[in-house]
Amino acid sequence: MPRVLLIEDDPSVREGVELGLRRRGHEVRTASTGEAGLAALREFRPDLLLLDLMLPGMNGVQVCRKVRDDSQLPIIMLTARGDDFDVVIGLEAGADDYIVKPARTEVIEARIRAVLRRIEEPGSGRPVVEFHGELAVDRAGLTVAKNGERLALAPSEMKLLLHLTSAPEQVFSRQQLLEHVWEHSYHGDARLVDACVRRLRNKIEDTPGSPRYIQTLRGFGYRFGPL
Amino acid sequence: MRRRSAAVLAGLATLLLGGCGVPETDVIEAGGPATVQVFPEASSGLVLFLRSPDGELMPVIRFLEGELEEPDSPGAGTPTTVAALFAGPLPNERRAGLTDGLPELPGRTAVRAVPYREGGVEVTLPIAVGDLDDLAVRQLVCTIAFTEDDEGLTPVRLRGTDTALEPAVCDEDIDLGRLPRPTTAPAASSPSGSQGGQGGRRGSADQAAQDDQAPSGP
Amino acid sequence: MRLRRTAGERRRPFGLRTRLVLAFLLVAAVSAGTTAALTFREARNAVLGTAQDTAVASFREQVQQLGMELPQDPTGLQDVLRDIARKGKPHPWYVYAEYGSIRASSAAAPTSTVITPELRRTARSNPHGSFERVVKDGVPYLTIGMPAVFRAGANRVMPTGLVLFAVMRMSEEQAGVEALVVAARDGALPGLAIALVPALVAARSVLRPVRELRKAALSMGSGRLDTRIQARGSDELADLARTFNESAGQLERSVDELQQAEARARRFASDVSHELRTPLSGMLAVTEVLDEEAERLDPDTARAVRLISAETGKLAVLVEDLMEISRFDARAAELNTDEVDAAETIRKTLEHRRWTDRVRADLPEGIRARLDPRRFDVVVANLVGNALRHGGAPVTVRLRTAAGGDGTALLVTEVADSGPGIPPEVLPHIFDRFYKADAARTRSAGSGLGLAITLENVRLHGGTVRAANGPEGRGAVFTVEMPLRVGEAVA
Repeated sequence: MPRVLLIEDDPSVREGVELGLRRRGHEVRTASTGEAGLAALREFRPDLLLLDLMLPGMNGVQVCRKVRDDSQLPIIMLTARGDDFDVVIGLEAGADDYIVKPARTEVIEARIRAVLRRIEEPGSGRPVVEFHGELAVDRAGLTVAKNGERLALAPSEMKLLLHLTSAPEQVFSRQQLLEHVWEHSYHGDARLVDACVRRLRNKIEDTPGSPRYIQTLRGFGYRFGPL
Repeated sequence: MRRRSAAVLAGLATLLLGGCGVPETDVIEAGGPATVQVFPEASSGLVLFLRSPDGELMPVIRFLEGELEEPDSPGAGTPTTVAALFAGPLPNERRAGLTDGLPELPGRTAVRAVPYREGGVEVTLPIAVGDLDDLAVRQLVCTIAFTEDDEGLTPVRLRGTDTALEPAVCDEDIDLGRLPRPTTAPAASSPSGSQGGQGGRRGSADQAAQDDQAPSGP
Repeated sequence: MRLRRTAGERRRPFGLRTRLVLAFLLVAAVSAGTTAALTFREARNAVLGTAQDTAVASFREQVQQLGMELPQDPTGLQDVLRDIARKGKPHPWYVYAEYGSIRASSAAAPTSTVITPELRRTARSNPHGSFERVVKDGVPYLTIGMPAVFRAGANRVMPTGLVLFAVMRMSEEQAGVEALVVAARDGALPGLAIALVPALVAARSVLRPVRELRKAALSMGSGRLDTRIQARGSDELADLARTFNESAGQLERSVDELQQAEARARRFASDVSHELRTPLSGMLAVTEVLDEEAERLDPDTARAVRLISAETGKLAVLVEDLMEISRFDARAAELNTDEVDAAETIRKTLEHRRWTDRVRADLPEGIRARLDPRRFDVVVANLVGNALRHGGAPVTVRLRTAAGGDGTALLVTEVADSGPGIPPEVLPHIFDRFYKADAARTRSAGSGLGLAITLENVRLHGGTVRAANGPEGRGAVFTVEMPLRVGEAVA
């Protein structure tokens, strides 16, 4: 069972979520501030971080950036709907997904599982490492290298890249990507996709302004290549 | 607003258009009458006053028959003139529709004229003067007055077989139709419209009326 | 000046400018007309007076040339009259004479029809010349009566009984007078034309402030309540401008207060929802625990626990909906549009909620639409959910495109049920917040905000939603019309 670190300042939420997840078998550690959370991170070594955006002192976005500086730990933000701006900033800062409060435990757990789920292995007959231009994608080892240099990709970025490269030149709509990569509903928040694509481009493209690998088809969605 | 401007426009139109062209007028007096030359002149002829079909006093001037033979004669005397008046219009006068309107005179000698007070004359007629109409009286008065003097200003008192009338002056030359009056009541003898130059005559008429002392109303 | 007008506004047949100019011209016309009329009358009277005086004097002169016997001899009279007639001044005239029963004239008939009885009476009873203007059959005549007198003695004149009349046509005078009218008119009309210039200038000076007022009023109407007019001078229009400014100031203050009050109310609703959400988050996270443990509790406690769990869920939905409505009210709702396949979008909505087998879908393929998928999902889900809850099966969702009134392509979504339909008195309120069709019904399964949120979402797309009953009066039909390509149609 995954180990979850929950950083949440409100005691009732903290306690409620902790209780719910623990009953479902998760090992849960909680922290009430960003600073305490970062400290617990090193010691607890969680598989996933549940991060409230509105925190006293160091806020969720700052925590998120701090974590992303040296880790590809899956991060799910807890947010209240209406704080739309924060969601975008959180996603830009590297969060993989977000959950709108209030949420039932089953919803939270489903998201956790979705983020942690590995992209299905490609069928037999495909090489372990695929080369797309200067990119080397290792589907088994879940690593991506550009010009031999390994890229640090967050889980959602990795999954998105793997999904797109699994069918190069095929166009995926945002809704399809939401369903397959994030396991959201078809009608989910397409900003998740857009933010993730932006982050991914910053890491793999030579000039993110005119992308080569992840191309936009206006009115339809995204596709990988053609190179 | 619209009704008011319509009224203004209508008034304006009336002012502009209604006054256009040549409008009619009432009868407007304009200057004196036309003075014509008559001959023989009144002073040298026999002046008689006849009447028109409209009841107006119509002067006629006849040549004096004896004038040519007797240039120094003092003119026809009142009895002669009165007799001529009673004799009626001549043919040419009758052609113009003039009549005398007087009864027949019983005899020529019966007319007598004697001086009366204040330069007046009393004429005695052999008829009943009470039966005469106003116009007839006036014909007589004027005819006698113009016989007595050229300007016909002499007051005349008519005496008939029945009575004597109040003295009268042949005066009212403004409204011939309403003359004469047998009595000269003060109100009747002061016609307001008399022309300038006739004041003297009016004065004398007033005087005559006062002399009578007893102006009895008609 | 053309005013934009709302329907039903009554308009005078003439604009203010026209009326001002007309009034000005009227004044100009009245003064010009009066002046012209007075001048005309004076001139006419002068013309006529000259003609009359000349005629009367000349007639008297002619008559005075006469020598006559008394009585007048009728035979020579006509010759005399013709002689006088020839010497008519200023125009030829007909001369008539009356003496006793004699009637003679220079014309064919011995008497004239133009001479009035009044003139005859005056001439015969009054030793004065007199005249009368008579209009007969449109022709003006001057008729003169002239009694002839003779001199008796030195000072006295006596009437001869002869009265002469002259009848003179005044055609020339009439022509002259008409020329005067023409002259007056020709003088007045250019005057009026010239008066048009100051009239327009005056109208302009009056209308400029009026136009400013109108612009300001329009500006106010379009929401710029800080609009003010520069009030110059001290005339009525300046007063009006000042009054406008004061009123505008008061209006601005009132609107400001109202807006502040409304904003406070909205913020309060938003704050309340927000504050409710935090404890709800904790509660909702543990409802699962309650549900699972309830089985092991004694029945009463179990019921209580399940009740709390269920109501917590509903409360969470209600709070979410309240938050959503607050965002609409605060105009904070954002539209995140994307290109989607319309049929696919609706199909996913039904699949997601497991309604596929309860709802008949008539969804033609290939309709690409630009919309906010999440909000469109809410719209369809609310309408279908409402139909499933309150209407009767089967529920049908139809999708089609149509052309809007202004030519834009519309995406039309129809949700119909087979229930009893919506009572007519409910129809106007069906999209109201917390509106309960049945007052006796305590609470519906939804939050009571579903259709209100639907309406707001459709509006956010620039579309409309309406509720009606089906053709046979059975079954409610909700029709959503949105631009096919939201955000692109509006250039």
